[in-house]
Parts: sequence; C-alpha cells; structure tokens
Amino acid sequence: MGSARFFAPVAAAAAVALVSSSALALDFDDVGGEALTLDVTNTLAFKWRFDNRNDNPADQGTLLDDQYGEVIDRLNVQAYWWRMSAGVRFDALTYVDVTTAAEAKELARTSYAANPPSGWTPENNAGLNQYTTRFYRDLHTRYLNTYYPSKIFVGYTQPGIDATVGDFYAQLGRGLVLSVRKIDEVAIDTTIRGGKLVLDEDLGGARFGLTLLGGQFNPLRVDEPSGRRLHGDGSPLFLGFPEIDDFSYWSEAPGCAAGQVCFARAVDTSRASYLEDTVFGGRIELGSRQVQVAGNAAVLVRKDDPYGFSPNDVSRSHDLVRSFSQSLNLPNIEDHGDFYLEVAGQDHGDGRVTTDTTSGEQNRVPDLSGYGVYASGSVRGGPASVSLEGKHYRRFFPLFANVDLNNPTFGASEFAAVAYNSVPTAEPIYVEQIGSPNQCITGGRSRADFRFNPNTSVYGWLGFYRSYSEVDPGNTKCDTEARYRSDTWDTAAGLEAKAEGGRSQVRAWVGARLTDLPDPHEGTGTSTFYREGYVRYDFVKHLVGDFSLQMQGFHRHRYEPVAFVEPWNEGENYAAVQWSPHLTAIFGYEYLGRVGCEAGTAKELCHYLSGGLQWRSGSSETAVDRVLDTVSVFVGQQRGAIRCVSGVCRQFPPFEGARVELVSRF
Amino acid sequence: MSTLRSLFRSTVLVSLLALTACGAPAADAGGASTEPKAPSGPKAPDFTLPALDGSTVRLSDHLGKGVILIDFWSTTCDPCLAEMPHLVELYKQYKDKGFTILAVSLDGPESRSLVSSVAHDKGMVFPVLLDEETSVVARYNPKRELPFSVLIGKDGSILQKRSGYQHGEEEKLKGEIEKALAQ
Repeated sequence: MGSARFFAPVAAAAAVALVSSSALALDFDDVGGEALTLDVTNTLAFKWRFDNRNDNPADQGTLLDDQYGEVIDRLNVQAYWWRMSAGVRFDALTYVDVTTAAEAKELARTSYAANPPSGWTPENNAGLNQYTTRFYRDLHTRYLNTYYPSKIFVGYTQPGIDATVGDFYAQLGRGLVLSVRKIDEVAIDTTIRGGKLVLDEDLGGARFGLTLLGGQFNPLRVDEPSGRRLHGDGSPLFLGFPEIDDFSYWSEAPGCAAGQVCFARAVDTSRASYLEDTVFGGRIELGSRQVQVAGNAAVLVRKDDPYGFSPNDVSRSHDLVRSFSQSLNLPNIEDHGDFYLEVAGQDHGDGRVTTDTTSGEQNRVPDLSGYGVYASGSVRGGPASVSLEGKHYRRFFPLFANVDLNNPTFGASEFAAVAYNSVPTAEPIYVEQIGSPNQCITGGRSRADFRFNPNTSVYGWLGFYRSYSEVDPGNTKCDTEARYRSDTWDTAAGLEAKAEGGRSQVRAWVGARLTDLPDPHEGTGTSTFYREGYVRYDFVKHLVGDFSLQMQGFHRHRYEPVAFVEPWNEGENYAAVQWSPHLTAIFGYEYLGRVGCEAGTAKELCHYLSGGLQWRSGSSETAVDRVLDTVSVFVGQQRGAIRCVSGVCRQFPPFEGARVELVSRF
Repeated sequence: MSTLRSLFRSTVLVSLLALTACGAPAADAGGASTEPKAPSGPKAPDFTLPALDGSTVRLSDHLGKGVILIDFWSTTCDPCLAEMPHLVELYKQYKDKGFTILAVSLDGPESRSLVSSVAHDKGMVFPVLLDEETSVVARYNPKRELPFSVLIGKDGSILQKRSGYQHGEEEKLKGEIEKALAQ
C-alpha cells in the first residue's frame, strides 16, 4: 500500500497534464450560414488526504477518511449556433488507494480492541462482526469511482423568448417559493431537469413577463467533501447516472448451540437514497420601470416513499407541497431608494402514513400551512445610504430534497442541506444557524453606510430577531409559548479605507451576536443561549511594482452552553504575497480552542497550518495561457467547520493533505 | 492495481470526451465550409437580465456598439468590491469612446437587498444586472469564480475571460480595453 500511495499522486499529476492538454478550442465561421462556437472549461483537481485527525471510533466514517486520493474532473462543453445553444457537463470522480475491504476489516478489529463500544467486549465475535459490518456499510456508498453527465441542456433564445430543455437553474421571487442556484462554496449545485420557457414582452411603457417550468430536481450525485454518493430511483430523465448494488454481509444466524455464535450471508437489497422530486411552477409579471408586481407559484410533488425516509421532517413527510407568493417591487424611487415586498404561502399536504409501533394504528401526517412576509428597502443620497430588511415567517419550512438520512447502508446524510427554496435570512451571510430559526421568526435589520470621501467609509448594522424554532426545531406548529422563544441581537460596525490609488486598503469590522431565552434553560440553568463576539479583517499593502501583501481572516469568541460547557475561540488567518496578476503565495493559520478539538484527545487548542501557491495566466492569448488559466497548489491542514453561504450551512470535515487544481478555459 | 486501472480508465475517458467534444462539430459539419480560425473570437452568448433600475437589459442590444466588459460580482465577494472602484474609473475614462460595463450581481435571497446600497456606495454608474438564478453565470463561467469578467470586442466576440482580482491588475485590464477600442 505504501508504494501505491507514493506513486498515486505522481500518476494523478501526470493525468492532470494529459487531460488538460488534450482540450482544444474551435470556432467555425460558417456552419449553415451561421457561426458555430464551442466553449470549453475544464476543472481538474487532485487531492491527497493524510490523517485529518478526526478519528472517532463511534463514527466509523471518520476512520475511513484518511490516506487516499481523488481525481475530480468537471468538463463543461457548450456550443452556440444561431439562436441555439447546447451544453453538457461531464463529471468524473476517481478515487485512488481508498480503504479496501481487507483493510477496513483490520481497521475495525484494531479500533474495536482499543475502544470497545459500550456493552461490547473484545471477545464478543458478534459484536466485532457488527462493528466491522458498519465499516463495510459506510464504504458501500462512499469513494466510488463515478462518471456521469451531471448536467445537459439545449436552449433557444430570441428577443422576448428563452426556452431551455434539460438542466436549468431557477428562482421564483426572492427564493421563498423556489430557489435552486449554483452554490459551489457549500458543494451544492442543484438544477431542474425538464423544461423552462420565459416570455418577455415590452408593451411600450409597460412590461409583461411569463415563466413556466417543470421537471425533476437534479442535485449533484457525489458530495466531494465526504466522497458520499447519492443514488436516485431510476428516473428515465437521469439516464447514465450512477446506480448502487446490493449489500452483502455476514449476519448472526439462529440455530447454533448455546454459547456459540453462527453467521450466515445476508443481503440488503439495493435501494435509492434519493427519490427524485418533481416540480411545476411559474411566474407572471407585469409592470413598468417604476412599479412591478409578480405572482409566483410552485407545486412540489414527491414520489411514494416505501422506505420511510426521515419521517420526522415536515417537508419530507408530505408528498405535496404548494408554495405561492405575490410581490411588489419599486426598484427605483426617484433615484433615491427602492422597496420590495413579498407575501408567500406554503401548504404541506398529502402527508405520509405512519404506523404506531404500539397500537398498530395507522396515522397520516396532518396537513400544515404556513406563510412568510419579507420586505426590504433602501434610502440613499449623497454620501449615505440606509437599508432595511424585515421578515415574519410562520410555519415556513425549507423544502428539503427527499434524501434518506438514516439508513446505515444506503443513506446519504451528507446531502441533508439540499433544499429547493431559500428564504431571505436578513442576517449576515456568515451566521451559523442553530436549530431551525427561520421556520418561525420575526425580525429585521438596518444597515447604514457613510462615505467621508472617495477613500474612506464606515458602516454598521443592528438587527433583532425573535424566533420560536431556534431552541426547539420540533416546534413545527409555531407555538409562541415562552419556552420556545429566543431573542437575538446582532450588531456590527466597520471601516473601509484606501490609499495609494486604491492599491492599498484596509477593511475591518467588529460585531456581536447575543441570543437569550426568557427563562433559564432546563439543562444549563442559564438564560444565555448563544454569545459571539468577532473581528473580521482584510488588509492589503502595496509593496513595490506589481507586488502586494494581503492579510485576511477572522477571530471569533463563542459560547453555546447547550452544546459546550465553556466558551471557546476560533479563527482563520491568511497572509499572501501577490505578484499581480500571476502568482500568489499563501500561508494560512487556523485554530480552534475548544476542549476535544481533536477527536479522541483532551487537547484544548488545535492548530492548522497550510501553505499554497496559485498561478493565474491572466490572459487567453496563447494555448498555454488557456490550458494553464489557473493552477492552485495547497498543502496543509484546514479545520472542520460549518461554512455558510447563501443562507445554506453545512459541516465540512477537517482536511489534511495536498490539493492541486487546474482550470483550463477555452 | 485496481486503483491504477481505475485511474487509467478515468484518464482515457476524460481525454476521449474532451477530444470528442471538441472534434465533433468538424465531423458533423460534413461538407460545409468549416475553416477553423484562431481561437480568439467566440461569439458572446446572448442573455436577458433585469437591471437594478427596473429596466430589462439584453446583451445583444449592446453588441456591435462598442467594447463591453461583463463583470460578475457579488456584495459578499471581497475582491469584487476591491476591484469595483477601478472598474468605475475605467468606465468614466473610456465611456465616451464606446466602452461600457455590465455588472452582473450574483447575490441571492440572502444578500440581494444590499445590492442597491453597495452600487450606490461604490458609485456604479453603469448598468447593474441581477442574475439571482445564476443562469447567466453558469453559461459564461461554469466554475462560478468571483470576480469574473468577460471582455467583448466591437464585433461581439469574446476577447478575454478573466477570473479573480489582485491589486494592480486594473492596469493590465486598462491596456486590454484600450487595445479592444483601437481594433
């Protein structure tokens, strides 16, 4: 295994060069009287993981995510001819030197002997067999070489008409009704595979718009951070997508003599971890440049779920979800302001039937309706601007993808965050949600910016939010009793200054987030639910010629007594020397000061060091510039953390290893 | 051994796909007149987006009238905000010579409300378009890096795609704009 691990990165690096140099660009002047253009973008990444220091014997997945490599290639080819366009994205994920079944067995035996789970003993063969089987189950849907056409589309465009068949992104309103967007930062790239028609007609001083769409949702099938693969239900729309095999294992068998344990071969029949959800929706708009009104509606239809995915989740336990909204937009009020208001409804129906384990009685999950009101506006003039946002949501839920989060063999909990709507949060984008605060919340935020001169400005914001679902997300009916309530104040103030013709700058802000309960919490005895104080900064100093020094990062002091007894500190700091526009050398230092920050140890402070280089050609004049558009090399460690982008948060496991990424663009 | 086989298979597969994808049009074209030319001038795909001021902007309405810079940005992207004052300066300097900027915001539901304030604060006097769906950026910039800019020449062909921003890079961009205006 050692030599393979040595040569695998070399082989993969060679593959990087081979694959990238094989791409070409062609442009034809006359194909049937029209120009034909091909646009090719290829992103190729090679990662090699060392020990990321997250081993937890109770979670076999953390023992299997070390010492392996992965080659990830995303090839986008798009063609444009006349009014037509077509494109395909082909994803290829190859895993190198992942844990084999024999290695997993040895790993399980060693871990079991060193850390026997509660109630089991090292001499218990049945216990060891069960423990080992958990490793096999985890590997059954993980680190699987996968090659598939993840996105494909054909489009037609002419003034007033845009039509797409295949994969497309979509949003209705401000995301309350429907929102599937590309959010690479949190490894989410969901599209709808079906058809979309957009009509837009200028009626003199007025404008009419109509959008119709329908299809099945198409999330990515491999979660890169974890290597977990998602398997659909065989919808014909997704021909060529990965499938899963049966899972075979040794199970305890009856009929043995007393004191002995017998085993027999058992099989878990293959099954989907994602039941493709269907959506139909549309938008109708009418208005002028000053006043625009729109109506949005979408119907989410779920497949019958024979497996009982996540029965306790409101969104997943209803097979029919109707969402609708009406919006009013005043985009430009006398050049000094704007205003937006959207009122939305959400109706969960056709609830799943569940069987009471005690009485055997069958019950249907009751219908549930909710609503949301979101408003935003701004006033601006001279050197100042003020923006306001407000939200009032009651029983308004994220529309999660129908993913199996629980099954130990076929489940894919890493896809839990995939959702089809995205409610405006009215909060800073980096706020990590606790519980599910937005399903029942009222609050708002005001932000003010003031510019003293072209080089100096200050800004600050203040927000207040009252949620009844942050402390207990199970409060799905939005009961407003005090025991469900949490009140949050969120504030920050910052400065931005430039010098040397804008080549040097500093941007820094400090902030705090305070969440309190009306009464002391039963478990902690304190009414403090969450505390955070932070500073974030971005400093650039021009050195000489094309050279600059940049320092960027944050420090957070946090306290969440329900989850951790003591407050803790964490932060990320990066320093970079830049030779514009080509080369950047980066040094990173991250830290986490929390007891047990490294799994299996009593460490109170963990350090994560990293270094990297990035080359950008900064040009597309030559073939070499295009092949080597961007080359990034990263070596080192990154802490595991929740990262939030676009209102979506997900947990990223810690990383320790090397990563090479090449972007080629034609 | 099996892992090396898998690696080899994936390499061949991806290479073949790249070659096939790029070579297919020539084969499909049959006897048509399909002379490959220098890979420097693919046509910019058309799109229509709502603008911050309430209008609707179509790229084809601007094509052929001068040099266009499409700049994909977001209020949550620090380098985008650092670059923006330089773009404003370039726009003011060259707008009378036929240069325009279409600043395409990718802000979604979580930050869309800040776009108008930021546009005001940064003095963005050129059209600010809203690609909340990320549909247009997916066509031009499948990797969705930010900032990302596309320079389009007077004839409607893409002259340059550029991802990222480092301080001082505006000088190089200035040269490219001047070159494009002179063509």
